Amino acid sequence: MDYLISLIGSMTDGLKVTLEVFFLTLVLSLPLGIVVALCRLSKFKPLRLIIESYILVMRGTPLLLQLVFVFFGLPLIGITFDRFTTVIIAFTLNYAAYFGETFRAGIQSIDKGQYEGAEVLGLTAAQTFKRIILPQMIKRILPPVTNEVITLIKDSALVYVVGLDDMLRVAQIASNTDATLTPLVVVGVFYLVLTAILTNVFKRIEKRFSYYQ
Amino acid sequence: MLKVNSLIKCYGKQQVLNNVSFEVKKGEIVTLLGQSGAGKTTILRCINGLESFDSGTIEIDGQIITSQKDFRKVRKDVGLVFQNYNLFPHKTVLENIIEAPILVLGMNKEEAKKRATELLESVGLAEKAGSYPFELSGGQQQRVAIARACALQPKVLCFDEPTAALDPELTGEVASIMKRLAADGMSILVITHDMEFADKVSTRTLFVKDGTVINSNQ
Repeated sequence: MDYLISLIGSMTDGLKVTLEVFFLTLVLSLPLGIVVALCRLSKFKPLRLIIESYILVMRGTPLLLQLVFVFFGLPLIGITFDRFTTVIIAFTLNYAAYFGETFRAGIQSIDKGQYEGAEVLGLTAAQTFKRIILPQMIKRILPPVTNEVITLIKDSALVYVVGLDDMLRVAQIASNTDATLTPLVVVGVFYLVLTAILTNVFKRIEKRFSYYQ
Repeated sequence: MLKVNSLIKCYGKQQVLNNVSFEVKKGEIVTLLGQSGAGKTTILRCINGLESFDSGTIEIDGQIITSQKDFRKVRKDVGLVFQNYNLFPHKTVLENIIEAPILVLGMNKEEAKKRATELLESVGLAEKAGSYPFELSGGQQQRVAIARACALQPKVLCFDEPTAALDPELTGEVASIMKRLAADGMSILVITHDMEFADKVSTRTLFVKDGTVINSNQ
């Protein structure tokens, strides 16, 4: 029991790293995802091509590789970031690509009539997007976004590769040192609890958007 | 009030509008009748700036439009009630109506709400102001769409197949709303293939065939 309590104590620091990576990535990649989606739908072909290749690279290579590349590769051409910044850059770029594609699907699923309805009322393109399309899109993309957010909390374990001590890493070290699986069980429970909380939060958000059909 | 002059539109080599000319005067209800594929909807979409055209002009309240890009300047003067209404599902009936007056005319919210409430009263839906479109019947949704279009006080109001989604006994109600708007000085253009409705409501009926207006019986 004492062992468990000491474990939980040392894992709180790891939890802090995990949550920091999680929240910062989310806060940065969600808005960036909207930009990605809009560029992807742009009528300007060069912009579309650039974004399509960006998405191809982000989805086509492992996030682990991207992390390593940003951390070890960029210093070779003279660009250096500290560990934490590296992680946030790589995660944000990766998740913005996934969110971007989800948002694009959401935007394209809105009936053409909504655009035309706004058009004949004289709304500008920006007003139409912000007030008519975006709110309806959010409702539709909540389930897939929930999926990605839950994946993010687990992906955050990859930060060990650049030497950050997130909670999985802390547990692994404890497990090796004490020659027991207990820390890994504990960390598993931590992830489960986090995921349960997230699931609940998103359920509530979905409910808030269920006032119309 | 609305004058269409020698309107021509092609999709590739196929000419869909072939020299369309007609006029709707102030306070008139003009119906365009014709089979599907005749070009009625395309004419209506051109008049509302939803479709480009290759040559000809559209004159709305004295302003002459020669291309789809010109439409900004007459946007407020011409309104459209879509066949499937295109209400905004995430906004209440009242919010649907005040959106454009606030954003486009720059009206303040209180004033817009007051006007919207009057409009809803005039179409008999005052008690539905706080409802969402999905809670209304098709006929009620259509009346909201009419109120929403009227909120910008257009000089010309167009209806795309207004009876297509209505029970026959409800068409009389739409007809009387149209007649009241026309009596107040609005010019109304209706496209339909419902002859009976056209007879009931129109000042004049025009026939559309093969992309042109072929005949008018006064």
